[in-house]
Amino acid sequence: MELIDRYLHSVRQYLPETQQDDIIKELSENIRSQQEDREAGLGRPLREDEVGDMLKQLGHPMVVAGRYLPNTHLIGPAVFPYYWYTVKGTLWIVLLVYIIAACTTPFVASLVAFTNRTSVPGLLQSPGVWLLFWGGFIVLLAAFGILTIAFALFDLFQTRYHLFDRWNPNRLMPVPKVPAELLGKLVSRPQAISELAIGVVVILCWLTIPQFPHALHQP
Amino acid sequence: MSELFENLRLELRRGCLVLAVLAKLRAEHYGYTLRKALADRGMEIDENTLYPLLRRLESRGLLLSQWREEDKRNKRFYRLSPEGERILGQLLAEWQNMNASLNRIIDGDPALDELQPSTRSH
Repeated sequence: MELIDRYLHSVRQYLPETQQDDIIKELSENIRSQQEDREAGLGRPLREDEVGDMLKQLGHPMVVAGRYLPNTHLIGPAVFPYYWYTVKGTLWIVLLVYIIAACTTPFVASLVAFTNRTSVPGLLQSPGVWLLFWGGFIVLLAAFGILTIAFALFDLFQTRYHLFDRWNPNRLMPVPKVPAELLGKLVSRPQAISELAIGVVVILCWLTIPQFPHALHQP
Repeated sequence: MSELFENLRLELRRGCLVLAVLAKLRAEHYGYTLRKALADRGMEIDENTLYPLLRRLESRGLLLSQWREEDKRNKRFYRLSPEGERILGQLLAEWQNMNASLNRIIDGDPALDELQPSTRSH
């Protein structure tokens, strides 16, 4: 029946080339056996809509094909919780640093221009909301991409070389001498402020220096 | 709550399905008749689970397959390989041990008698 052929053709498209013929031949046989079984029960051939219902019950071609493929993942379950925790934390920090940098860039650009007795490029005088929005989006996307690639590589190596099996309990960090309820929450204020300040300076330099290349060459 | 139960039930069933498939393939079957035979004995199994499972078990050497004509059509028949028979024996022993351990755990906890008195035989 044409509908079954179309269904099998669609499943075939999602399968690896080397296994297509074998899987489709077997799946085709199983579907036709099921069809015959239903027809024997009804005592008549199945109508087009009944065949459609039978195929719908089998599932979307992509889902059906997917079940024949090996389970693959970019970041496995052992590493994923730590990856997700890092992504969430890092993206918030990057966003905060970007907002601060975006707010202060025109001021810093004016200061650099004044010191060098040059004019401020128009883009830095008023970057525009959309430019700032897209800039923020690209910075966040880049941070997300870099972290994902880094964790995917880590997961690949830890699976291949069994890194998690090579740990030594004797090398675990000593328990900090602070109350248990503060563990994991303790970040000193000077440390947090200094990390934020360094981040702001780096992004400011990144945004400003390309506009004033000559500033780097002055004595 | 029912979704949680469904997830736990599927997790519990996953290992049992492999055991049921291996046990049923001590006699030769092709995909569709195997599915029907399992369903007739109360072990419903989705096509998308069973057919790929058969191929995986075959690729691991637990099953043997052969294309053969039946009712004027070519069908792929599966049966347990000698290695599959050995593994099935070990798995059945393991399953019986687990079952016995679970029964001992359940029987030793009087609180469970109050939980489902109608289904408890002891």
